[in-house]
Amino acid sequence: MNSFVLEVHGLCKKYGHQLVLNHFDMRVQQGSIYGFVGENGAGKTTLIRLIAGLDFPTCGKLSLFDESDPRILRRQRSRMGFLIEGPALYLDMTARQNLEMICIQRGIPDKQEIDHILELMSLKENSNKKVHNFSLGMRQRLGIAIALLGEPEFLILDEPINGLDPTGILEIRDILIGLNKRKGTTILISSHILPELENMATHYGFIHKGRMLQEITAESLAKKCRQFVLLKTDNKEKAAAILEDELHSHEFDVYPDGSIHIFDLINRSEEVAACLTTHQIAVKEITICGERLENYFKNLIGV
Amino acid sequence: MDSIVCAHIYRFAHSQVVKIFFSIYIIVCLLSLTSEFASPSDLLIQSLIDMSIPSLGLSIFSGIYIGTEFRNRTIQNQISHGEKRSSILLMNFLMLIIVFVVLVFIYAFVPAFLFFLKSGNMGILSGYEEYGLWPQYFTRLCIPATLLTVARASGLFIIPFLFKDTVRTILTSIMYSLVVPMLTQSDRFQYPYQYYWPGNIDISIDIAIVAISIIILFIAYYVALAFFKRAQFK
Amino acid sequence: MRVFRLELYRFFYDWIYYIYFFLAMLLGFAFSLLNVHDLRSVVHQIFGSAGYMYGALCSMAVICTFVGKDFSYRTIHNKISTGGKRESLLTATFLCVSLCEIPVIVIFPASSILSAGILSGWGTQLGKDFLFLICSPSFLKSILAYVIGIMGFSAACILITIACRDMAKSLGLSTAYIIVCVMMTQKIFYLDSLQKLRQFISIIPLYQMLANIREGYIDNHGFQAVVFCAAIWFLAAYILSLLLFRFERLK
Repeated sequence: MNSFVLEVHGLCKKYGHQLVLNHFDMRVQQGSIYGFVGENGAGKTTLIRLIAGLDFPTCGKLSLFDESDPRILRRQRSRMGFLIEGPALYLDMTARQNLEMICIQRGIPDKQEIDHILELMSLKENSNKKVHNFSLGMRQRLGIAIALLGEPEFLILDEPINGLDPTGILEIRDILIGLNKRKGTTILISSHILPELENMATHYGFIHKGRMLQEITAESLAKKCRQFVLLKTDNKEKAAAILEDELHSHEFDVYPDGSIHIFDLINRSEEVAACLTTHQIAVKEITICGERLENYFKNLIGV
Repeated sequence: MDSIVCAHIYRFAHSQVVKIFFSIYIIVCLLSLTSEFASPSDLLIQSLIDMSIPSLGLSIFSGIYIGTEFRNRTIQNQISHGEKRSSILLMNFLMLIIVFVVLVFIYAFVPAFLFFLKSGNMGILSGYEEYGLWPQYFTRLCIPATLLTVARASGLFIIPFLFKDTVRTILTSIMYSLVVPMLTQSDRFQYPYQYYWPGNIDISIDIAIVAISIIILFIAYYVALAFFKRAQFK
Repeated sequence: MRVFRLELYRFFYDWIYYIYFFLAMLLGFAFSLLNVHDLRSVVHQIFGSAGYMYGALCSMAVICTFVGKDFSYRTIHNKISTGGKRESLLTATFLCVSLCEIPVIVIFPASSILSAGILSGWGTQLGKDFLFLICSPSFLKSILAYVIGIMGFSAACILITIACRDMAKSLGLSTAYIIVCVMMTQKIFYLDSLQKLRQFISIIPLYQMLANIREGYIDNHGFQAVVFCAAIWFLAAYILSLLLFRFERLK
């Protein structure tokens, strides 16, 4: 059943004269890991704050778990976990005390969950250390731990891997994928580290200047991210001429760094290499590549 | 709502800053022991009327407790988890009122009690030696007069939710604490000044004072709610 | 010199400094407005514990905000990591803050006396007395003693801010310091039972101000005593701040 945990229709948010979200539409399917991609200032955090109830939309409709009534919407947030723009922590308390506070606030009776979460986030050794002595990465881990308390059905994480070391990034990725697979937790991640999103996300949403440009599944994206032959030679102009005249290739791009991306001769790379060699053009590199998410996004926003 | 109450109690019990604050406050209150009051009764009543020190205390407390919640964005955890803004505000508001009453009573009763231990009796309030209705007077002091003091400090309960920032809260509250006690403790006005002293005051005045104080506190709550309900959290 | 100019720039381009100046002026007006009953006592109160506490709180607000901002917003890291010497930074901060708090300290008694004159009525004898008072050299000397005394006394707030490395904590502790000192000096000065403690407390500038400024008048001996105590307090605060700041771990 394709139910949606989050639906946004025509959402607008204006700060003074500045329109930050412009008739924004979005749907997050239950059980998906939704990668939310956009430039700085595109409106990602604003949208997340509207979902969290920290701010109010100028117009439009927002529904969580098929409920859009503001009173019921508020209650639906108890089924969610948030990490928005960095962790919100009591700096004069220890990590354990911070988690205990949250348990009390959310009415979570089981204190063993705190030990489990601390273990999961590799914070058990530092659980009795005051938070103001934590490094950025440790605070980030604690922020994620707070979001995970209570086993939320829908997790919203705004730049969760900021400040984490490479091991930490891998651990968080495994935790989130594990949660999604084992418990069917829906996860919305907003991140600038696109290679990480590529490893996790099942759906993507691309936001630009307050508008949703495109929502796409990971499979469709993979199909759209076209493969090409990456060619590097010592004479890109002559190589380009040969590709056009001799090999009749019409879909290729020449880049300033000297590389050529050929889209229509994917299975003929040997023929390309042989042809160029015949014309005494040295082939430095010839390989088959796919377009990365970064390039896809850049092309989408027209950069 | 009771989860918010439990969370506040937990934070109170575990916050080092709160403990340091109350320790320093008690030391400041004990300085009033060095004044030459004729009797513990004099000390008690003068201290109950004077809201300047408890107000300054609450200014610092509201900054370091409520202001920090906004600065560290921990209040956002409660909102984003689905707690009603009005419940969050109500609990914080009531907590500030309780803390203020505690500060007033510490300022009045702790030095008076120590003075009582030294002198052995409460003594007679100077200038009111003939006055006989002491139980009635102390009941008036503890309930309507205290409510009146709390109502005079009602601005301090609004300020943290207006500014949502530690430093601005502290500075504005200090300003309020300097001006309002001056205004409301002056003997220029019959009320509230005369109300705090012994006298044959009709019970209808007591009821009126209680009613007016509660109305002022309600107005303060709704003013704070007006700011807080539509506040944007960055 | 560059650091000093940087600090001055920060002050004059921050609107909050002007807000403090305006609020100190309002406080001064409110101070005499609320004494409408007996305006003659305004001068006595300004040069009493109440006036000193208000003046000290005004200067504390300026100090804790400007010095504390550097720590809270971590802009001090920029100054140090670009090669700035900690000693020069601290010296410039002390000088700049002391200089810039002068207008805020002066405006409180000045606006109080002025509003007392206005409230008395310019045409009345009392109004004329206030006008005459503002212009008299002895009163101006008292104001100078007031400013120097408050500056020296509130230098300890800079030390507190450097120790706390946080705007909010320093505001809280500085307020407690001011209240405790004002209450202590007031009680020890006025109560005969505590006269044995006077020799210990006489080093606090507030005590010297209470002892020597009378109804807007101060003699040469009293003025020297106030300046001397304020200088000692200022120097002690500076040296302790230097020792603390030199090796302080900046978070």
